[in-house]
Amino acid sequence: MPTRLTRRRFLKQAAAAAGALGVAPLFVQPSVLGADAPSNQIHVGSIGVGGRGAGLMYEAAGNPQTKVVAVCDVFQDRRDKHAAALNERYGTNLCTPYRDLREMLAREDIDAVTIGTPDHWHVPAALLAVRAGKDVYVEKPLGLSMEEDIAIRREVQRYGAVFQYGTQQRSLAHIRFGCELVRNGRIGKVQAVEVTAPSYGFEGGSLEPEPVPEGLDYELWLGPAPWRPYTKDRCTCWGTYWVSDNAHGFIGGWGAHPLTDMVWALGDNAGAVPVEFAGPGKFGAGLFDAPFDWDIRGKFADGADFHFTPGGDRATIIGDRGTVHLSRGGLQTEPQSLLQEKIGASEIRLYESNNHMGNFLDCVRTRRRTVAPVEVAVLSDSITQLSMIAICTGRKIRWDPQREVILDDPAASRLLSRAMRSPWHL
Amino acid sequence: MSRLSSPILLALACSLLLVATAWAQPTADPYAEVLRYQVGQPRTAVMAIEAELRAATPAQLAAIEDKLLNVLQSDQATGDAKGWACRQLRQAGSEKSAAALAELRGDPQLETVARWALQGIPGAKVDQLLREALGKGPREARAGVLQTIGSRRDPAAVPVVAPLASDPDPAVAEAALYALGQIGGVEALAAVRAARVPPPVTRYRLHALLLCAESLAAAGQTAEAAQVDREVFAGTSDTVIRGAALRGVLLAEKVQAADLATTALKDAQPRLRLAAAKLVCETGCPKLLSSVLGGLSTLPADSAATLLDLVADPVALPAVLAAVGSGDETLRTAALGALGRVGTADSVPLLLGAAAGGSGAEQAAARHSLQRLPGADVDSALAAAAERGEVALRAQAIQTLAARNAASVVPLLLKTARDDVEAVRLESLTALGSLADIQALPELVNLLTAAPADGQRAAAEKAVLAVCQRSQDRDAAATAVLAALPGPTSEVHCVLLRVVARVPSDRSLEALRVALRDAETAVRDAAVRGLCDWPDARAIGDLPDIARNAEGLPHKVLALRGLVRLAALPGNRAPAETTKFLGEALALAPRAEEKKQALAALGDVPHVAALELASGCLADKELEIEAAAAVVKIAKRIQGSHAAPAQAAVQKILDVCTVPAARQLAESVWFVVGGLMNVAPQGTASSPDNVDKDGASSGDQAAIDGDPATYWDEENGQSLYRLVVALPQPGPIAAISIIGYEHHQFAPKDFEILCDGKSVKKIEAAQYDDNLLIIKLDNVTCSTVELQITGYYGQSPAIRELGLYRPPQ
Repeated sequence: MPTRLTRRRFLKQAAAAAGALGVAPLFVQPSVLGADAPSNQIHVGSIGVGGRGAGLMYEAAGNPQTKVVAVCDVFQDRRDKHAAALNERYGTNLCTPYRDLREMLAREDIDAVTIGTPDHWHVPAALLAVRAGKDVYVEKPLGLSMEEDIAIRREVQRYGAVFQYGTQQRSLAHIRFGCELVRNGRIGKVQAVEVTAPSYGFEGGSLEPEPVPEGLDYELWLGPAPWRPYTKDRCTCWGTYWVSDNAHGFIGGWGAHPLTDMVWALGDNAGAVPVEFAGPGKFGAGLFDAPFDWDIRGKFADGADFHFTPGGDRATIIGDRGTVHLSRGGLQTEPQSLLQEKIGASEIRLYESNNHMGNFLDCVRTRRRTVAPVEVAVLSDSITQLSMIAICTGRKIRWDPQREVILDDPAASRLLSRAMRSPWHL
Repeated sequence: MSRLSSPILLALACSLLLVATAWAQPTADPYAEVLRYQVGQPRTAVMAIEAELRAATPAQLAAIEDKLLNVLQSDQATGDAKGWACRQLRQAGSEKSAAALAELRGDPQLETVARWALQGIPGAKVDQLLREALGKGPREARAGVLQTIGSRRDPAAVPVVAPLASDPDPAVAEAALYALGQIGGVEALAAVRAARVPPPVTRYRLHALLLCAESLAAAGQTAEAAQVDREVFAGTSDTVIRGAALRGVLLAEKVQAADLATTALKDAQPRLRLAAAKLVCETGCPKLLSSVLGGLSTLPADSAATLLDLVADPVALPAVLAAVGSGDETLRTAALGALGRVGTADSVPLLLGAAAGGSGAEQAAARHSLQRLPGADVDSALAAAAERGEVALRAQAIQTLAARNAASVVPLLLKTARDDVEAVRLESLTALGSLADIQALPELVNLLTAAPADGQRAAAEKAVLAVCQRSQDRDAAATAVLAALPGPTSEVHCVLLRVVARVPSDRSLEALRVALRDAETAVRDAAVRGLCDWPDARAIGDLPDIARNAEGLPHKVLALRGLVRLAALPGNRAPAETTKFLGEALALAPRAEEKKQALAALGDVPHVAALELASGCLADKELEIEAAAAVVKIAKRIQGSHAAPAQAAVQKILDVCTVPAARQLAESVWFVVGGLMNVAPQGTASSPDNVDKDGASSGDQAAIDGDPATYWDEENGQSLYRLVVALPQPGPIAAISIIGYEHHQFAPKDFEILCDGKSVKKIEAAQYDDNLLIIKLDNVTCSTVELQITGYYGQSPAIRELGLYRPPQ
C-alpha cells in the first residue's frame, strides 16, 4: 500500500474526523436495508467488473458495513474471478456471479449497485436498477445523449433513489475548498473558465470480425448499441472508450471530472452550464473513431467565456480579483494568499465528503443526497453532449440550460436523442 | 500529473500523428467513392461529405439528402457506407428519407442507426411510417420501433400501440408500455389500464401508469393525476412502486396528502417508510412538513430520525426542539443535527450545552450544528457565552467562534486571553491564532512576552506565528515581533527569535545575525537554528561560516543541511554561484550523509562546473550512486551546449563505478522514450503471484492503462511480486519505463525483467529520475514482459505506469 495512510486507517480516521465534525450520518438504520438484511449490512451488486468497474466493486467491498453479494459481467471469467475472490474474503459463498443484470436486479435483498460497464450501458443499467428499487453509483460519463441523461434524472427523482456520479474529485477537500472560494466571491466576478481534460485517444483498433470468445455474451455486451461484428479491441476496457457507438472518448470520459468541478464552483445549477458552444474536433479513423481532440469555446449566460480543450485534468476559474485552478493533483490560486482564506459560518459551505464511495454508502443508509447527485451529473454531462453536437454540426450551438433545449437549430436538436437497439429502451 | 505522464503523453502524441496521416487528399466525387467505404479504410470521401454537410445551408441540405439517400438505396454500397449514410441523415434527413430508413428495420446491422435518423426527423409522415411498421417486418424489430414512437411521443399511435401492451412477448409488451408512458395523456392511460401484461412486465405496467399520471399533472390535471397515483399506491404491495406513487400524490396534493404521507411513514415496510420521509422533506411544501412533524412522536423511530436528518425548513423548528428532549438517543442526535439547519441564535445555549457536556454522536452533532448555524446574531450569542458562565461552555463557545471564522470577536478574545481561568486563556489564544490579523499582533506579542513558561507561552507563540504567516505584509509582522526584543528573559528572547526566523524579512534576518553574537548560549543556539531554517535564499551566505565556526557537530550539520536546502531553492543566483555553495557544502561535510544531500541538489544545477564537481565524487565508493545520479541529471540538461564534457562524464560512470545502479543510470541516459510507441496499453496485465491487491489500487491493468492516476499495487512486505504484460502479438521491445507511485517512496527497486520467460536484465537499487525509471533493452523480441520484483522502495512496489516501447522505425 503506497499511501502512508492505509485506506483502512483512512476510513477509520475519516469516520473519526467526520464524527468530530458531525458530518457523518447521525444514525444507522438497520431497517433501511430490508427486513432480511443480516447484521445491518448494505448489500451491493456490482454491474461491470472489468477495469474501473472492478475498482468500484473492491471499494464497496472494503466498506466495513457493506457486502458485495453479487457481481454481474458478460465476461464469464471476470464475474467468476471476482465472485470467487470476494467469497474467499468473506469465507462464505455470499457473492453470486451473474451474466444478465436483469437477473441480478430482480433480487430483493440487494440495496445498491455500482455500475462500471462500458459507457453505452451506464444509463440503461442505471434505469433498470433504479426501477428495481436500487440505489446507484454510476461511473462517468453519464449518457450518450441528453435524452439518456434526462431519463435517468427523471427516474432517480421519481423513485427517490440515491445516486452517486463517479466523479470522485467532488470528494477531495481541496476541490471543495477551491469551489467555496469561487462561490463566496473570493475571486470576484467570474470572467472566464478554462477546462482541460486528458484526451489520450488511440488510433486503429482491430476491425477484422472474429468469433465471439467463449464465455462472453456479446449480444448482452452490445445491449442498446448498434450491432457490429465482434472484434477484440471493441470489447477491451481501454478500447471501448474510443468507439463512438459505445462512448464519446475522453471528452466525456475524463472531461466529466473537471467539468463537474467547474459546475460545483459555479453553483451546481443551470447557470453553471454555458449557453453557447462552438468549435472543431478530430476523430479517429478506424474502429477507434471517437474524438481525440477538440477546441470548444462558448459563453455562459452572464457573458463569461468558456474554453474546453484536451490537456491535464484542470478547471481554471478566472475572476476579476483572482483565479482558482482546480485539479485532482491540487489546488492553486492567484493570488496564492487565497489558499489561506477561511470560510465563515454565514458563507456558502459546500457538501463535505472525503470518501466518494463511503459517501454513497452513507447516503444509502440515511437517504441523504450524495455529493455528486444526478442533477449535477446531468449538468456536467450536458456540457459534453453539447460540445459533441457543436463538433458534429460545425455550428455554434445555443443552449437553454433551463429548458434543456437547443435554440433555433432543429437539425442539431435531433442529436439530443439516440435510439437504442431493440428491445432496449430508456 | 503532467510531470508524471509526460513520456506517455509524448508516446500518445506520436500515435495521434499516425491517425492524422490516415486522412488523405480530397477526391473528385466523394458520393461515388463513398459507396465502397469500409470502416478503417481511408476516410477521404466521408470526410469531404461530412465537411460539406457541416457547411451546408438549409437549402443545400436537400441536395445532400438526395445523394445520401442514393447511397442508402444503392446495391453497390457497402454496409459500412449505408450505416455511415444513416448517421449523416440524422442531421440531413427529411420525410423524403423516412421510407428508406424505415425499410431497414429488418437489417440487424442497420436498424438501430436507421432509427437514430428516424427518431429525430420531424413530420407526420415519419410518424405514420413508424405506426405502419409495427404491423410489418420481423417481430424482434417491433420493440425498437415502439421505442422510437415513444421517443417521438406520437399521440396518434396510441390505438396501434395499445394492443401490443398485452403482447405475450415481454419485450414487446414492455416497449409498448414504454411508448404509452412517454406519450401520456388520458388515452394512453386508458390503454395502460386495460393492458393484460405478461407477468415479467407487471411492475413495468405500474411504472407506465405513473408516467401517464405525470403527464396529466404536467397538463394541469393534478386531481386526475393524484387519483391515478392513489390507485397505484393502494393497489400494490410493491414498495418501490408505492414510493413513486406517493411522490406523485404529494406533488399533486401537497398538504392535503399529509394523511397518506403519515400512513406511509408508519408502513410495515421500512423501504417505504424512509422513502416517505425523504419525500416529505423534499416536496418543498412547508405546510405538509409541518403537519407531518406534528405527529413525529407517533412515528416509528427510523421514520422520525430520517425526517429529522433530512429536514431543512425552519417550520420544523418546534418539532426539532421537542425531539431534542426525546428519550431516544438516535432521535436526540438527529434533532441536534437538524438544529444546525433550522435553528436560530436562540438555539445557541441548548447546542452549547450538548457540545460541551454531551458525548459521542450527540456531542459531535451539536458541535457541527454550532459551526454551521448561520447568522451574525449567532456569533453575538456565542460571544456572550464566551465572556461569562461555566468554564466548559465558555471554552466551547470560543472554540466554536474560531471554527466559524468569526473575526469580529478578536477584541473579546484579546480580553479573555487574560482571563483568570487557564482553560479560557488557552482556548482564547488558540482562537486568536485563527482569527486575529496584524492589527491585533502587538497585543498578541504582549501576551506572548507576559505568558508564564508553560502551555500558555507555547499557545501564544503558535498564535503569533500563525498571524504573522497569514499576513500579507511580512515586514510589518516581523516589525511587530522585533519590537518586543530582547524580551524580559532569555527564554522569551529565544521564543521571539524562533518566531522571526519564520517570518522572513530583512529586519528579521539582521536580528538573527546580531543574536549570533549574544552572550547567552541559548540565544546563540536559537539564532543558529533560525538561520539554518531560514525559508529563503537571503541567508545562504551566512551558512558556510556557521558550518565552519560551529560550536559542535549539531550546529555544523544543521548549517550544511540549511546550505544545501537554500542552494536548491529557485532564485536569481547564477548556476556557477550555486555550484560554489554546494562545493563548500561538500568540502565542509563531515559525513557521507550530508555529502549525498549536496550531490542530490547538485544534480539540479545545469552547469558544467556542477558536472565536474559531481564527476569528481564518482570514485568515492560511499557516494557512487548519488554522484552518478547527479552526473546523469546534469549531463542530460547540458548536452546541447556541452556535449563533450557531458558524454565524458557519463562515460566516466561506466569506467569508474562498480555498483549496478550507478551503471544502469549511465546505460539509459541517452535513451529518449518520447518519440517511440508505447505498446503496453494494448496488452493485458496480470499478477500471478498470489498476492492480493492493496488499498486504493485499481488492479493489474492499472499498471498499463495509460492513466497515471491509477496504479497497480499489492499487499505490503512480500518477498516476490510479479507483474506480467501479455501483448497482442510478438514484437521488438527497445526499452521499458516505470513511473513509480511516489519518487523513491513506493516503487520497484530490485527486479528482473523477463521477456517470454527469459531473463534479459537485472536491476538493483533502481534510480528514478523525477519518479521515472527508463531501462534500455537490447535486441529483445517477445510477446510477454514480466517484472519479478524482489526489492522495493517503501513497503510495496506500486507502479503507476509501465511503458513498453517499440524501437524507432
